[in-house]
Amino acid sequence: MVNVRELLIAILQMSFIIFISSCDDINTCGELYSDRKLKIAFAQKSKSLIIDSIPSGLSFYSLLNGDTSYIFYDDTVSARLTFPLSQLSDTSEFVLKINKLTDTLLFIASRKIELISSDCGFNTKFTLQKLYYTNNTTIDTMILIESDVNKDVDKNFKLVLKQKGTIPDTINPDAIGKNVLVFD
Amino acid sequence: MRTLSFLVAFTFLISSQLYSQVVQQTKKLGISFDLVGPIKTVFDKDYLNLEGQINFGSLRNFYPTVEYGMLKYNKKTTDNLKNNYNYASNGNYLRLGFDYNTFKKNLQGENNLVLFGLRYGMATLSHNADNIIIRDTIWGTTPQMKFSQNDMKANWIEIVGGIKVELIKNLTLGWTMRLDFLINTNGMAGTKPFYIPGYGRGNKNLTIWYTYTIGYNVNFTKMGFKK
Repeated sequence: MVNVRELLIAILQMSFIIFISSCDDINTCGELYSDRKLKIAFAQKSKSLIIDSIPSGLSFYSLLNGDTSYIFYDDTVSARLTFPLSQLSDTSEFVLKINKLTDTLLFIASRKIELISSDCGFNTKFTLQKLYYTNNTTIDTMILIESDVNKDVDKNFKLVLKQKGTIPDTINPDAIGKNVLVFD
Repeated sequence: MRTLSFLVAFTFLISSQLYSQVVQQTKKLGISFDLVGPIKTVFDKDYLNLEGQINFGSLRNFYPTVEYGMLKYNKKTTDNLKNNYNYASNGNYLRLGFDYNTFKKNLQGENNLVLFGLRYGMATLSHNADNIIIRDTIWGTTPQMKFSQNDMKANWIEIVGGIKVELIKNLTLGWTMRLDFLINTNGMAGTKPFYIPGYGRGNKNLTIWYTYTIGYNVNFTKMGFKK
């Protein structure tokens, strides 16, 4: 017959081993930082439907300091792309380029610094407030999925491209528009 | 602070009233210390958490409990490839509540417990940091930043489950697993603290953690408390 007291002591010993083995912080810095990138998935308008798609020839760049450009993605094929937001400014601008046609995404986010782990140090916690975007050429609309950039989600936005055959070869100056999404 | 004082006084008052009525059922005052904090300090010299617990013996298998502790965390990095920072936090905490013993199979003279309990936790803390640099190869590395926040407060509800075994007469060893639900914070609108003393990581609304305690049961009926 099992002695209950000995059983309790065995549970104590096991719990102590579990405690000691759980002392290490299993998170790596890379994982923690990647959670804080903006994630954009792609879709294509098809008549009245919006269908998830994997577009090709996608390029994204940003104008840093007004003149120097940084290329995030160059002529890539992807169903989803991630973008780091600026730690220096409340605004982060990305230019989408497909077949020499461009549209611009301008994210506005408030920033707070946060100690995420002793090894990885501080990082910025972003709270999205607004998104301005143009839909002059390739972008049809932007759909908000999750405004919390810090959450480990599959996507924050769905970027809907215009229906095939409706993308203009050149920008029509009369059609230039700017849209805004505001987040609570 | 007035709320805190009131809760402590209220708990002691209620406990003393109950004991004066049911002293024949009460036998032991349990005093214990948490080993998790000191053990963690062995692995992480920047972390210091000390905690003591008093439970006031059994009242129909309920054990009124008071836990008090302090937490200090100081971290300085200068050679981190990612970031540099100096961070210091300091705080105290108090938990009030009870454990309920579900274990009925003790042999004569044994005092082993299988516990489920509830706590109300409260903490006060301050933290500050300087020399914070966040490196970013795309948008640019931040300039040095610093902050200081005092008089932060947090309150939480804690569900406790665990065991306590009397190894030899009156000497106990215990383990609990705790589930904490943050219900309120005050003064944390800026940078959240890395640790909330007695609760865990400051950026989480739910934490799970352990205590591993060593304790001694004092037979207070022999100390003249009997009425």
